Amino acid sequence: MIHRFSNRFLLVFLGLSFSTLAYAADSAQQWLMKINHAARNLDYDGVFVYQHDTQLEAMRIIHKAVNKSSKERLVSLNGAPREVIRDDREVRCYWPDKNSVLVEYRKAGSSGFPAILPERLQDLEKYYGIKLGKEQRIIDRVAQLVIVKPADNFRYGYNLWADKETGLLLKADLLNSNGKILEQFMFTQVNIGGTIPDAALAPAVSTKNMVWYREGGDTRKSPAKPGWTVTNLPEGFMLSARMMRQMPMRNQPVEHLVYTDGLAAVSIFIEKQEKGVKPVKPGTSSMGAVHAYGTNIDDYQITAVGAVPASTVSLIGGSVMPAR
Amino acid sequence: MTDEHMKEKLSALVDNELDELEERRVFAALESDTPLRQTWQRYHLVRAVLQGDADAAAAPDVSEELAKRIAADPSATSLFQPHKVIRFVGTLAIAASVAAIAIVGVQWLNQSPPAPLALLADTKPAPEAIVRAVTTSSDAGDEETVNALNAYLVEHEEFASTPGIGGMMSYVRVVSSDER
Repeated sequence: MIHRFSNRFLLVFLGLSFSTLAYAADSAQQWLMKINHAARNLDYDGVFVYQHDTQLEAMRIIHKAVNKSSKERLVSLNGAPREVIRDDREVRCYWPDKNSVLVEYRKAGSSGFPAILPERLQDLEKYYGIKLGKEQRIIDRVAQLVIVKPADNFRYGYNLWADKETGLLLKADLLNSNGKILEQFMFTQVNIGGTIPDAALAPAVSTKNMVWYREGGDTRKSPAKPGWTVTNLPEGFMLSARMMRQMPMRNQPVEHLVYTDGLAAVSIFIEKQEKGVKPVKPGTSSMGAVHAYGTNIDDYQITAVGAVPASTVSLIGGSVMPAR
Repeated sequence: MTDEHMKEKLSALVDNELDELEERRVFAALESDTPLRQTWQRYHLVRAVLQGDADAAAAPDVSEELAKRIAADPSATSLFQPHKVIRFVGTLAIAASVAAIAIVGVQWLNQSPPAPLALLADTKPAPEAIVRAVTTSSDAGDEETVNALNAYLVEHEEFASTPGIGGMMSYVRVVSSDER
């Protein structure tokens, strides 16, 4: 309850600072805040393309801000019409091709959607160069380019094109420190500020006959004492969350640590090896710009995951130690 | 700081002073980190010069050693079959598949081969051992690993700050289709 209240307070505070920002959104930093604010507070409905590895996909996103909170629906327009619907409380994944719905409870606080916080913006500038690019035309709108360049190769950079009028992100590139594009996002059509009927935020797939899987137990509590710690972090990464999770496919709770530099985030999952479950071989793997690194310590399985370079997940994941 | 730590490890690796676990970690880092690999190469060079090993100093064939060591230690290679598409057919057994259901279609690509293979490209004797080591990584454990990774990705997305930048960048990797 206290948690919820403090987050509300924070939102009000953010709302106030944004209203003053709105009149003078000129620096690159202010644009970053404006983008963040727009994604959370605008109503929009659009189709965008997402390119990763050698794939190109189309998706629709519908976002509605309700009383300082948000509801969002993301639908895949290619292949099976999979959907993710999320609000402040939970994330629901609808998988019509598998006849299944998965529900996970949100733990990031009542504001729900991760934010770039003003107090972290200054820290951010130690690890990223943030500057304004040119104004450009994106889907027939005037867009401001914001360039976020990593100071080292432990993190990725972004080229962000924000709608000049509303701040909504219209196009984004995710790049490595050499400037190579790893993922791209771009709206092909978007309606900003129109009325969004509740029906647009309901799943289009029929949930009749679908099997529901819910995350087990109350896993919001932090562990009594930290079981594990990371001994070798790239500069700027700090612990931002720690929790126990009851993963749907595991009998025992999994310890989940989140480290972030304010923009990039890495999750570490530590689980005790269950009998009959084969231990995972160590190594790295990737999905678009996301990398994962797995290793074992004694009979524990350690996995680090994040949209960061492979060297970052292997460094962080490789230095997890039992806390003393 | 972090760099220093890794360099210490590298130095120890060159001198064969690391235990098996640490060795594996450093190898994993080496596979994906070009600057680190260059540092390692330099260390070999320095050691060779210090030891008066003129031949090695002239042509430090680090890649061959890397290949040998990776071949000798299968766990140093990556865990997944390259370009493995994760598909789940028919009715799924509940316990094992919930995670898969959440993100069916998320495709994890083998990350590791490019590094050692790229190194091999400019070396003369292409040791076949490494090629084998890289491509024979598929066994029953892999699919479970992939399932777990996918479940972790869903959990992680909630905390990733990228969505803070823009709504459209959130959860896309979760809904992403597996059509090829």
